[in-house]
Amino acid sequence: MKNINSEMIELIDSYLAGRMPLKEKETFEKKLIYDSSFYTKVEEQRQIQGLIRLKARDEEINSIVADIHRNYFMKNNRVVFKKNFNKISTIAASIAFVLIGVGLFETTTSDLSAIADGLRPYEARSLRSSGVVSTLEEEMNAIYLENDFRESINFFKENKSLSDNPKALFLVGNSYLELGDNTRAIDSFEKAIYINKRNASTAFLDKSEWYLAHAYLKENEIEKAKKLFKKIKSDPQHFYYDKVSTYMMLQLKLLSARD
Amino acid sequence: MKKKKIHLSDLQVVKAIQSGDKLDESIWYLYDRYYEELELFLFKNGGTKQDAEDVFQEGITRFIKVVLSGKFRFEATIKTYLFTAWVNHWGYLNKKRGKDKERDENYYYGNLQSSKTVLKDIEESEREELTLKFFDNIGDKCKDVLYAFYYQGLSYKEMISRFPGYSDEQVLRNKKHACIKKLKSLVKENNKAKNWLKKLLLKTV
Repeated sequence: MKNINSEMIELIDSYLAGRMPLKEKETFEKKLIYDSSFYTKVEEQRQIQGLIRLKARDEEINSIVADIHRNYFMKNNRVVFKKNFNKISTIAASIAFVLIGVGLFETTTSDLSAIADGLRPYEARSLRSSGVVSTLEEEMNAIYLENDFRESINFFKENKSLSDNPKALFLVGNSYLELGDNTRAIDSFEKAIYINKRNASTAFLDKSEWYLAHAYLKENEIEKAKKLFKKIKSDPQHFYYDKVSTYMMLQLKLLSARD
Repeated sequence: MKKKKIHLSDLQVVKAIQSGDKLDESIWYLYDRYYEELELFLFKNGGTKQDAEDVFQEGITRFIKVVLSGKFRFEATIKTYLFTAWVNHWGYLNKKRGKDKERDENYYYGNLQSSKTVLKDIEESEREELTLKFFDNIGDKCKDVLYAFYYQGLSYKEMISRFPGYSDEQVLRNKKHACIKKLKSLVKENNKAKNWLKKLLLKTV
């Protein structure tokens, strides 16, 4: 690009910003038409201005997003997700609805109880007999013990360090399940399982799988539920191995075929 | 202070970004709406929490730049744009780390393969930003002066009160011209920037 002097830059800036008085503007525009080298200078300055604005805008966006990002992840400053929770219903009742409501096959109360038995809400145990809680995980457990599921979810969200804690994820998954938010329950259980897989650990793994299978059922994701129940059934060491009956598998198979 | 939950359609988000009106709220909304999904996606693909945060921030930033450049035309949903940007950036990070991890095909990636236009927009935006890096060599003082004048539209008088280091308008004017000169010489040295500048400015400025 050719160098142009300061006065020229001022003049062009004034024109490009629309600040030039009318008379001067007319002269300026005449020159633009008849003087090609002048036109080139104006065009170059226009490009430089565009470049400056583009870079400034980029930096401004980076800065805005970075600020929000920082605030978002700052402890106790995360937005609390409050979903419009569905009416609370027991998982057993939902499963009964799925099985009976669709009229796939005749099911007796005792048949259904094979599934419903495992669908009771998870009952957390008090970790400390003294009742004193010292870690975030214990604190969350204590909140869950009170059956305060919304608070349990809020607590989880407000404490960033819990987000890769399998037990916390398991508890928050159950809280969502209790409040009828099956999608988030599934996400939480899946995350608990993946973290275990990643860390080659088994913290709350069996429990997460068991409740995830039921959450899938609640979401009518029969194939996924079937696969997970099958996995549990195939592992005698699994905590819930005995809970998966052959008849339950048959029911799922029929549901799956009908689906 | 906790933010109140808001519900925004794709159109509302895009309009808010384009107009600058309620931009912060829109970005908060995108964090609320998609962060957990992205975190899960990355956990499934061997990422850490820190990875999720970094990738999320990059994706949001990229999306906003795409919208502001006028390339977001509702041919795909915001979610598709964001996940394309995230998957792309995650791939880049893995490559940088010498890893080539398998992606969870059952998750979002399969769905994203049809979004070639989206990917193109995102890659173009990344290239633009990379090309603009040369601008940083101009120095912070020049940046301050040029941004104030050309981006924020401040007058010399207003700039004097903002930058007390400049004794009068003429000193500031001289500084601005020196910075312009420096910037032009940087463009001249950088062929890639020169060509790109012409092409880009024809479209966006």
